[in-house]
Amino acid sequence: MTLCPDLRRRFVPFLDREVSDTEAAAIAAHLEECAGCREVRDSYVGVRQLLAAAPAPAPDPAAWRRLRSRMRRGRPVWLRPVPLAAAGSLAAALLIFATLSTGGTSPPSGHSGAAAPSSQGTPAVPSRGGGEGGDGGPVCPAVRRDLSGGAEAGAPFSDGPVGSSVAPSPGDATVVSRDRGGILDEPAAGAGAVESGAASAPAPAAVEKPGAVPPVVGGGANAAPSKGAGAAASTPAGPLGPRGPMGAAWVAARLNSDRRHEGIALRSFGEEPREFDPFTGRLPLPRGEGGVPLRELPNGNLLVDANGDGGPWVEVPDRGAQTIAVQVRHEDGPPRTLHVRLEKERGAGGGGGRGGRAESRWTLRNVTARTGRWQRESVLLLDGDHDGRYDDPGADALVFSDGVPIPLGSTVACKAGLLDVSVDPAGESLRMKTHEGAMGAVRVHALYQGDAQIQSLVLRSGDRYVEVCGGGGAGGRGPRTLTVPVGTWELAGGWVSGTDFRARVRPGSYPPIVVAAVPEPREMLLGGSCRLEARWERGEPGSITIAADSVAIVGASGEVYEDRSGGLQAVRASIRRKGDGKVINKQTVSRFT
Amino acid sequence: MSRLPTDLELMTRVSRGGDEAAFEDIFRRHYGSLVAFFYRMRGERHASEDLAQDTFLRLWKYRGTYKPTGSFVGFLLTVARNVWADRAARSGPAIVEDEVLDAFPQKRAEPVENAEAEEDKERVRKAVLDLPEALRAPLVLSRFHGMEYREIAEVLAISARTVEARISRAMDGILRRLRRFQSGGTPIPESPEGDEGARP
Repeated sequence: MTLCPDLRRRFVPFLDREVSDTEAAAIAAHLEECAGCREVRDSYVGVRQLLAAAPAPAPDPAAWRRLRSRMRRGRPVWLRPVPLAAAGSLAAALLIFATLSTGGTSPPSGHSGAAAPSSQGTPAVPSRGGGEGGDGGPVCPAVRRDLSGGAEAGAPFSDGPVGSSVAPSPGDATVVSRDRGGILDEPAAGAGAVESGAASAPAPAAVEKPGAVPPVVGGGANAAPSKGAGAAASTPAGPLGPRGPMGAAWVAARLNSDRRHEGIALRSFGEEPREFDPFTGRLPLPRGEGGVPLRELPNGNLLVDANGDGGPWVEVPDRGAQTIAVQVRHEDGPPRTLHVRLEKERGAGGGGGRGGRAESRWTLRNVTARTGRWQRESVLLLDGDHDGRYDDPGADALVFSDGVPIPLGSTVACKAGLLDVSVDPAGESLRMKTHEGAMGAVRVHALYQGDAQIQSLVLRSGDRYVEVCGGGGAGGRGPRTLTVPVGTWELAGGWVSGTDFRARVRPGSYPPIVVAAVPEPREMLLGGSCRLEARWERGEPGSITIAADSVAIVGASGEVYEDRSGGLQAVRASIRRKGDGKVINKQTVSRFT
Repeated sequence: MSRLPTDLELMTRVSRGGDEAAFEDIFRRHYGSLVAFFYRMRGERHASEDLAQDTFLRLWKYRGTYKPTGSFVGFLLTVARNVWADRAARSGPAIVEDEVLDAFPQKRAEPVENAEAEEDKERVRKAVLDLPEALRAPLVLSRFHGMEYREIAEVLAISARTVEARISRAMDGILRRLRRFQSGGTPIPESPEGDEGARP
């Protein structure tokens, strides 16, 4: 049964009383005469009644306390304590015991599936996604593509949805630039594996100051050089809301006249300057004037007065995307650097080359979240405090595909050992380095519903976090061993999956465990044993076991490079044995989607 | 008997003086409906709580820039919509809570007096979650939050005409899904394309 054609577009507004009285009367009269439309009306009314009765959960009574805590401390919400009621019911269902001993021991019995250290001393640690290691067991993606080399420079981190100009397949070509602080050139499509030892694109340089400069409020110095490789950029809806493409001719670092709000304003040709509203993401008309001029050069490059004072100007190469820094400051405050993402969108049909300049346009957005892929995983870099920088472990975070945010500056446990993950403040590079310090070991085994796979577990000790990434053993199941710094660790999050279920590990579900230092640091270390076993029962038994184990410490260092293409562009890292520094895991540079 | 302060009055106190007590009042007034909004948008209770928390945290963080224009609820839902967009952009499709929480040790469900009615509600809930977000958001704001089309248009930054078209399409989509549920079929994805209203 369908509505009469004349009514189709107006019928729901009629039911919602969103039509005029005259129109409502006309529709009502039609309903009197038309049995078909009445039947549809009855169906709609029935659905509306069901919708009205649809349940919604009662909010957590501890919500305000949690929020207030976050307001004061800026902690990520996933670290919130378990609500009392939930914790109580969970605790009642848990049988938890822990034993602790020290000294070199073999793994505890009862875990025959435990992955033993390899002959090279590499502790087997699961992959996050599982199953694709190809080396006898899943490998954490963080090191699945670890490579030779070992430079320490930064590299571009991907940013936002990407264009399609680079679509490599696994094992395809890679272009690596070594001498530009890790900045990668945009790879040539279809090229073979190439390593380029020299930079090809010059860093932006101060150029001659153009003519008139509007009044500005910015000050200071240090316009950041352009960084990053670019594929053609799209214009995604960013964290502050939709950001349509803007034919920006001016970008302004300015303040509202009330001096309480600093932000980035845009001015397009023929348009009024606008300013991002952090609440709505919209660009309302600003109050006051002032700005940093942008000027597009004939070669497609962009001139930016990033200081907002008329000089020096920075020339931004005509590349897909890059981050610049602009200085803003309150009249009564210190200057502050905001990192702003400039992206150049190629116009449709305009060609991907620079000849398409006439149809391309620059867009600008504040950098509050950058997405991309790290190894084979989707990752998201969050600027939680919206200050344009990725430098606050309490607010900014790295989020992997499982949705578990990893605070910046934390540590991830991988096959190669314990890696400290850091992101440079501008969010241009993601770096892994071997964690230094006294180590212990933890073995994690999920036994929920028989063969559960650990997708992610986050352990916390004070301000340090370690993520256990992925399951292990055959089929991605079985116990996993990871190194952690000595200390008291507690479960802070994560999730476990089986064939037909997913279970979230709630913070506070298990009591902390103490991981002891190994007796004497050496190249190959046997950790003290520490054991925690937790169990819950709910009709069918299930449990998670966390136990200390013996492991070797193996180092890994290097960076993972990323671009906006959605595929890893290059990885440059080495896995070295601590002590003699011998490289024990050496792979080739790879690139994949 | 003294009059309770309005939302705008409370928010003004928050904005000007960082009045935490006023902010708590706002929180207690609107947190539940915000959780409900996210729950209907996403279908997962804990994520909904997180999103509601994020919304209020953003409100607190940028309280100094608040400008009292329009209704406060509309403003709050605008912030919520942006928080939602942030999260949706990075976390993928919604997860029906049943799939997530089945494995948790929880209290056993009480017997349902009217199983059929509960089943209907559940079908409607899933049908709403099946809708594409572009259709789901205006429907949720209209049916669950009682907003008028022009208010929804403001929150979602689309035209009122687009709101009208999307809600109509959403209702049609739910009807189709419910019919398929009843016939044992699998709902097919709804395309958000074909809006009749002009895009902003």
